[in-house]
Amino acid sequence: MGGLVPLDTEVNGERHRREVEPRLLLVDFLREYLRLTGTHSGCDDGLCGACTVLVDGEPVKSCLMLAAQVDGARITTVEGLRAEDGPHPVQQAFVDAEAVQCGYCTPGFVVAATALLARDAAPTDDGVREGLVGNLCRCGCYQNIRKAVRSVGGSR
Amino acid sequence: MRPASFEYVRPPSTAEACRALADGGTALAGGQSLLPLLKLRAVRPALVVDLNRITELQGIGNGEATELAIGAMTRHQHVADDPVVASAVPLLAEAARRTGDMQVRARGTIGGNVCFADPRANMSTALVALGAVAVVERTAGSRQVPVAEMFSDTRVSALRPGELLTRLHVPLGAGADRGVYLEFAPQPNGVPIVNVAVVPGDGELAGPRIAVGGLLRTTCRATQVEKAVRLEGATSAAIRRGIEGLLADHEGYADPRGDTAYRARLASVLIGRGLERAARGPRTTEREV
Amino acid sequence: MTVDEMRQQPWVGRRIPRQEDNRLVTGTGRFADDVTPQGALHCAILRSPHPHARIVRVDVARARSMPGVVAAVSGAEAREHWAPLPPNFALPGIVAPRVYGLAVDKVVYEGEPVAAVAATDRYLAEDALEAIEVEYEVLEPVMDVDEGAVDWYGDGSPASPASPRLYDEWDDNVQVRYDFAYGDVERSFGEADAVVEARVAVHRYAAVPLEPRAVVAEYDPDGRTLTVRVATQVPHQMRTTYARIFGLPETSVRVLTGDVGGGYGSKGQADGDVVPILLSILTGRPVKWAETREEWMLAGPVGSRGYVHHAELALRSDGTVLALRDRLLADVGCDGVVRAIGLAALIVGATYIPGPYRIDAYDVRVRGLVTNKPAYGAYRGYGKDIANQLIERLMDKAAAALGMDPLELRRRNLLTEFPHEICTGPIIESGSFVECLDLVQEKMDLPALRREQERARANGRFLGVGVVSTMEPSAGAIPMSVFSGFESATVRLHPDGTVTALTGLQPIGQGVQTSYAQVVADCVGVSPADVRVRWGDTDAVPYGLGAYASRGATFGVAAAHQAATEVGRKLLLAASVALEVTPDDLELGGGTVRAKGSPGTAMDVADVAQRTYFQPGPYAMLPGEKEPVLEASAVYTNPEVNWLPDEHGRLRIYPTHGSGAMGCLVEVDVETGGVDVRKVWYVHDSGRLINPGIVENQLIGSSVQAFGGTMFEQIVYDDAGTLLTRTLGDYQLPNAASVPDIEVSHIETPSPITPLGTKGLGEGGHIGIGAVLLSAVEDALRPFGAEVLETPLTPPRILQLIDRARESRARESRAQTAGAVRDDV
Repeated sequence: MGGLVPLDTEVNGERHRREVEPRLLLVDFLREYLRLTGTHSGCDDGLCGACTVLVDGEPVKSCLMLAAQVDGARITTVEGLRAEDGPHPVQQAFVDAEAVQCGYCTPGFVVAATALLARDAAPTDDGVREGLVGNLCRCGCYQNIRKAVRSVGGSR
Repeated sequence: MRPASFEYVRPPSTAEACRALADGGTALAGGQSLLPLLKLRAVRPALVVDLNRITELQGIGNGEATELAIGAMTRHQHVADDPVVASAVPLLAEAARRTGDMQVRARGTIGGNVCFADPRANMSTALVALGAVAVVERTAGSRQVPVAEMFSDTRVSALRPGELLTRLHVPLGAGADRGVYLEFAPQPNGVPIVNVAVVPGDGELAGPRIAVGGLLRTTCRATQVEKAVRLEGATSAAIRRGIEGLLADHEGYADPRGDTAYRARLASVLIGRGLERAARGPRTTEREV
Repeated sequence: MTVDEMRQQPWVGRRIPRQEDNRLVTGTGRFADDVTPQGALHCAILRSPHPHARIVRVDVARARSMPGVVAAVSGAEAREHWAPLPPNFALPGIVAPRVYGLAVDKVVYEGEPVAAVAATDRYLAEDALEAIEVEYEVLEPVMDVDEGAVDWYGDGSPASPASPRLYDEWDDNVQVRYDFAYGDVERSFGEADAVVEARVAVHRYAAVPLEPRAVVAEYDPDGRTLTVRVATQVPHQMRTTYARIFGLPETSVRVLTGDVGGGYGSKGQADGDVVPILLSILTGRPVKWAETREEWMLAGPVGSRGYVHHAELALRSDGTVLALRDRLLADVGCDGVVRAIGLAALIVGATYIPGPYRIDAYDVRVRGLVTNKPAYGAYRGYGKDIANQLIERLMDKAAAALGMDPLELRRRNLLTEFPHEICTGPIIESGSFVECLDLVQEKMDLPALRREQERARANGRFLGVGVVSTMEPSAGAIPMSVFSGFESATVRLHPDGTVTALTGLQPIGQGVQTSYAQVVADCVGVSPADVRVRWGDTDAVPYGLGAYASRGATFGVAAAHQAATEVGRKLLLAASVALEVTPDDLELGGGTVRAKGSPGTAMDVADVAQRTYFQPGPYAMLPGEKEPVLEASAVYTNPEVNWLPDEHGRLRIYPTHGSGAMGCLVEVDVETGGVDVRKVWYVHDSGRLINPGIVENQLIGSSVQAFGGTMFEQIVYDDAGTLLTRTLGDYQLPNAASVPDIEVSHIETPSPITPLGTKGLGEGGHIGIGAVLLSAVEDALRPFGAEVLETPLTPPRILQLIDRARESRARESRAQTAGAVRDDV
């Protein structure tokens, strides 16, 4: 059996020190240990993007990372994007652009879109299309999701 | 879809990683291919050797003007964004840009892409056409392997137990800066049905170098096609004959998205387009070919 | 919008932001898997690796002794503790297999549950699965239905005699036999000037919601109560089903849902999700099961579509349709009645094949055959897609045969007068089929597209344009089933002027919370922000039937409207007492009750409510009323649904019918076989709209799903019956890069049979997209003469179609040459 490994990580500004099994997935650490259930699991294979979080600012699918690997890293989940005075601009843009239906994919999209906008503050429509192929919306809201992301880009 | 138990180490250096691999460890690079297999328990390592803390494996250098050295743990996004790559070997930047998706590119590594030996891997196809060489180390020394010889079978690399891919050397010149990478899929999502990379010849003696992914069970240099094109010109008949030659010598790849016959046709079309683009001048960034 | 504008009535018809969204964008929604009770165990299910096998032996002893394992159970052991899964409907001509939540002696698909464990965490549970030993006697799998071997006219003889039977107790592998005929079909075909025939086939693809199945079961052994949090579209039916399976009174079973991460028809039954409930009962501890994607692909209700039509259409030379004949054969996987609810889609399909056209002679036979694949699930469209795909392809073929413009042919046959009872029984209560077709043609600018197409062809590029009509039956109700036709609501206006609306309709992404708040707000004069819609707690809301068959905007809304209207009436009555104005002279809006024409005479709704409840006492403000509070419950049923077949054997299961027309532009790369769907236009009429933004998302979303299904989503098995498409890499869902822009336009023809004039919607895209894509691709390939009658439109198939068309042209031209030579001689 695998011995436990130490994990010291900062999640949404809060430091967590644990000992975890090496095989523990980051997504399970966030959801089951820290109760941050906004990060969703949709495909288990890194294909749907519902579990996207930021690791040191980089967008990562948390179902394809071991919790042990974020030792020393800073994690931001969808819950951590929210500012004290209200939703993050990307979150608000999703509401305003009617870019949500069942909402299961939405946290992953919001986090991925935040990362996309960090790389390119005003992406083109094609830039958004290509930038978000790692996130799937089964309700088929892509048209409005693109609109939402570009509305934030445009406002900068 | 949860991994079986394993031990986990995170060595800080190549030497220590090689020692851990020699003890029977399995290397964890970006994890974008390994993690799904761990979760399916299709791969059940006793020891996982996480390479992500080894800084000497990361980064792109062109200390020598004749080649580019890319650390095996360099992320796809890094390759896609690197200005030197973009000007010296733009097809490699294009292949990286189309690998996986934004999240996969943030974690996935060029070395991992090669070692996973998926016949549709973008980076492998680009590297094979570029004539890149892999530097493989182990506790007792190292060897150099052309990337074209890194694949034993579908998803089986030519690495021997205890070996670690540490660097990829990409030769510059010889048309490398005019190469073209093309791929096709019904919807772009990072895994094409077939991809091709074409590096034009550097003068009258040397013809183009062509690599194809998704046609055979491994990524391959399409030498038969190169020869046919050299002898007969870049006609579709010549390309087609070259592809048939490849398939006569090797087993074809097939999956629900396309059988071998379709892949052969697609490879012919893409090679034709790639040769035309390479002849016309590169730097194409069209989404669909 | 200014605050004043925001306060204006009516709210129905307005595009207001959804109340759901704040929690969903911030990650604070509550999906079933988001809840882990203290001390919960985690369930993992062992599944059959064989599509068809007898279970010789299952040994869970070693698993029981694994670390962290609290319970492990085989199918044979489980049988002592539960009843079989009940069939979900019992229509004539349908047979149901006997099925337990864990297979007992036989498995009929790869992935069928055979044993399960509950352990202290999910990792340990999966470790324990590996310690379960199962011995199988492998049987030959039945993986296809043989189109040639079906006995269409037999009465019980084996449909495919050579096939092994899936169920020992059945005579054959036929799960549904449905025959219907109306009018003199033979004579009409005899009198026709033209008969076109077609084989139209659609492959297997499925709903695949992003949230897999998830269950959190909490059995309290002391109180013998069971609470189940589950991702479902139908919480009340789940309560009824769980109570029956586990022998508990319904009073002791509580089903909870919160947010549901998409359903599209697939989350409407109990199947493997009863396993964690059993484990909770056996252990007396909470047990959680969150399905993996691979489990869904293997064992979810992923059978859907998978059918083939052999049909003929008879016409007069002027384009008048005289008669239609169809033989519809479907591969329904292992079961479409017990483990999943897809089977009735075939009957719905047969009912609506005549579509929005006047067709008075019709003969259809339907056979659904079981195979060793997972269960046949409901998926958006539910047969209306089966119907549209056929009739619209036949219309295009008929137009070609008669040399008519395909839109003109449609116009000549489209229904224009309403109400109209179609030959299969349903009454099309209102519609605008011709207007939709005209408008879509205008929106597309068809002449300009044709010019573009011509220019492109001159440059060796192949553009194609398709246009189809659609009819969208909605608000379905299946007799003799847990999907019968009523919905319920309770509306409570509280003393502070806020409102709680309880509905039995389950939100699964379709904006129930917001649109119901809009409807209720109008009835009681407040803002939707003051209305809190509650659902998904069977202890709190009245028995309702939930989300299926696009019934939310009819049944659910009508019940809420009915209850809220009654509360509004009492509110006006109370205000009339307070203001000393007759109720007829009062109006509601903006949170106040005002005397018409005398704005000074007004009271806040909250003041009226406060006084009604407390001042000075009961009935003071509501003299003569039965109850002295501002609360009402209502149940809505629709009279246009009949429960028993009429003299022709006809059932009327959909009361409302939307109209539509769809167009699209594609470009085909004839070298790679790639199809670029460049644009879709969708003109849609589902009566009065409650919230246009929500409606558009439903229309676009269903179009996107059917786009994926028609173009590249496919469930594929190898010859041995092993699933090849086990991940979302192999089973590709449409993504941001591939999905075309879809331009939606509305026509609003109110339904005369619903209180608000609304019709159901949400499946329309699924109904039309398949046919319009086939039509457009066929148009693009017209220079080759290829017929496009089968999905998926994958690149290899496109090339195959072009090759075949070229070969057949070559053959023809050889034959012509040969003929010419003979003539010369």
